[in-house]
Amino acid sequence: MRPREWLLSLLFVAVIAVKAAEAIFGLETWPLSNVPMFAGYVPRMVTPLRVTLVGTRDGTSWFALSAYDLLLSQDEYERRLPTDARALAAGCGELGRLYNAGRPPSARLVGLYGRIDRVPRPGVPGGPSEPASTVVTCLLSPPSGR
Amino acid sequence: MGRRLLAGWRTYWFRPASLADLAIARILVVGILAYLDGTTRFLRVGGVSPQFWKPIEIVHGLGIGQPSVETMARMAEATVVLLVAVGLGVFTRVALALLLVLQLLQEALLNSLGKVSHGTLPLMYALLFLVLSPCDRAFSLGAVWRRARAAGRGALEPPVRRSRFARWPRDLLFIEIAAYYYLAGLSKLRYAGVRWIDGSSLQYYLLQKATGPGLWLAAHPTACAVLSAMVLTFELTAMFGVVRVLRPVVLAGGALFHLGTWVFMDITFWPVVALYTVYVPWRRLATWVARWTGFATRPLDLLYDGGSAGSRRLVSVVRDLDLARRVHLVDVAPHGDPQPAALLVRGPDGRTLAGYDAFRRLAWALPAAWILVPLLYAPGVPSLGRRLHAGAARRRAAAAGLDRGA
Repeated sequence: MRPREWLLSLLFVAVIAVKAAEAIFGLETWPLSNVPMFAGYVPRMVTPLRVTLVGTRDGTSWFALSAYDLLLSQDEYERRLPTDARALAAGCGELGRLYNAGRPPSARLVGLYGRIDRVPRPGVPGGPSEPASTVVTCLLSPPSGR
Repeated sequence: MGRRLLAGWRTYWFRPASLADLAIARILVVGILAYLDGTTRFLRVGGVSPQFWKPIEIVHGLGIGQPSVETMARMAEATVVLLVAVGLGVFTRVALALLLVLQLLQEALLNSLGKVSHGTLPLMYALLFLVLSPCDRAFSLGAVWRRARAAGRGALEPPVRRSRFARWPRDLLFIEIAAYYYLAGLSKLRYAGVRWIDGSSLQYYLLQKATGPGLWLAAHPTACAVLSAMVLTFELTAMFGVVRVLRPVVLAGGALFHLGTWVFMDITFWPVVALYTVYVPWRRLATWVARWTGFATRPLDLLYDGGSAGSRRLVSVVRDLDLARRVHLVDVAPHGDPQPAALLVRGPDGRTLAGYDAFRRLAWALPAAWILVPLLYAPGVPSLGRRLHAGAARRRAAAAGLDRGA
């Protein structure tokens, strides 16, 4: 083999070695990844939960906040919406305040709540047969007393 | 044994392949990146609230803070300039290297908003491999210019259309793409085990994503189990595509897989699927179309003066653009009379055209020049072209007369 072929062969081996290392050691530091998307096992009895933030600017008409409203991608937005009611109540107010920051008063939220919907699983005996929701209030002004 | 292995390795990676296919891969990667990035994809990195800024390790390690919108806009502009340069083949390798660095930086910054995505990693690998390959030897203005200059200085060399180093970038990129799927399959086995195929996990994710088709599918647990098994089988067998004859099967499986995730979960990963186009045998396809349509069977004689540097340069450019290999070059200089018209074209009907009309006839015959054809018929352009050609011919005749006088 010629020198250039040897050098390129080293590159090929290095790339394959990186892929092997990602697999063997489960590396997960960008740009390395063992591509674990949707890899977790979710038993049938675990109920899917969907979280929505619903806000109002005038106290009468309510709308669902989207990832775009906060300049986030859908995945980034969902990461900030915990499915635990207490955690959601603790964090959703901050999202509301970030939404309001930099907006004129007329475009600011005056009310915001988080809704956690339980999604029934088809074909699961004993699971919730009807959708159930939990609603938490989001504080649009920072908590006082601290 | 070792020698045979080495010979096999060398044959696999370094058997000559089409430089045109590699150059098309370069143009495709540029097209995918241009469509993906646009001028706005990374802008929100500077626009989001600082509370959302969660630098990943590499960004934190480099001490990079959240950039401003203006900085991101400047980076986007630089990216566009580099993409154009790489696409046209101007300072291609340098532009590719700069593009790789800039793209990696922007991707790292975008991944610092709380969610790390790996959907564009195969594109980054594609850029890296192209930087190190002779992807600038075909379909590149720089290469056309270099060859034309060399032709002007000396004898016209036949164009190199194949190279030992034209095969490996696409093969190594396939390993990266296949590893992407294989690692995803392996992760499922690592974190969930074989029970992942019972469909329970897929049903859960479908209900969370809540698309119309996804909710329909989630209502059929057996179908979820069958699809889960198919997904895992595809992911764990994607590496078989390293054997080239099996590659189309793996890519077809991948296309179906992504179609499924798009329809049922609204997850596209389209940049990865778009990279599949790199594996279309474009040159063979073009040759087949040219033959099937009869385009390639109507040859054109191009009569040129091999003693003239200008003619040699022109012929070099024509040869670069002659993808269907229709043009038959005839050097008339060894047979005596140099052609002051510089360009004579003889069609299959025996009709000979000179000057601007020959140029226009040639544009019809060269697929890479078709984009110019409408312009060549635009009002005013033919008369201007004929006048320019006549002037150039007069100057050449005068120069030839001076040469003879000397």
